[in-house]
Amino acid sequence: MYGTLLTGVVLALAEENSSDGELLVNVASGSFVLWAAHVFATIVARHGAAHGRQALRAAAAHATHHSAGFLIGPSVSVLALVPGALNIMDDTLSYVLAVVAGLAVLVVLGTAAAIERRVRWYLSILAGLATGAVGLAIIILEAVFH
Amino acid sequence: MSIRTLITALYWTAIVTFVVGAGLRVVGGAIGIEALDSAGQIVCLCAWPLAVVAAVLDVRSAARAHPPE
Repeated sequence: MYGTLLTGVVLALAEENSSDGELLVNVASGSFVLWAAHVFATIVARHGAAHGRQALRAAAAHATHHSAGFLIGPSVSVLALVPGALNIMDDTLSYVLAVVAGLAVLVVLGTAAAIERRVRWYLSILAGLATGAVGLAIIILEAVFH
Repeated sequence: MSIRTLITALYWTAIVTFVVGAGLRVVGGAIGIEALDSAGQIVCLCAWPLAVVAAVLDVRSAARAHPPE
């Protein structure tokens, strides 16, 4: 979710005249760097934790697995930007698709979390929509204060 | 080759590719060669699918090792 939110913020803060190609590089590179930072932080935390200390290799394996979402989450938005960057699709349409795809990922994640808790189907969909709405609010807040 | 080795190799390839791309961008920006900066952008972009494939394989192999009850 965090990676998807970050992608949403990068898209929201994009300058009007920036092309989808530039956005693609920014979003993909941003999620990669964020993933690397999270892997690094998790390795340090796991390796140095007072209880259950892990060897560096085991800590790295845990960290990469634990941080996989930072790469997988934004991938839908990144893929949506590809047709725009390759001039197969209109830049604006590709951009809108990327934003909507990010929000859709948030909705799906919220719905999946509710389903895992065995909540009724209509409440699960409501939980998904609420997750998307909160995600959108966070993206707007981040964009306003940036 | 085990799946874990493949995942680790993909992660490392992605990291090295990204660092090379970022280096090209920094050098290109510093000496003002736009072609070098563009090449760096493409190399950075190439790192991303490698990392995503590694992440997907990582999650998939963990799900197989520990299936949900």
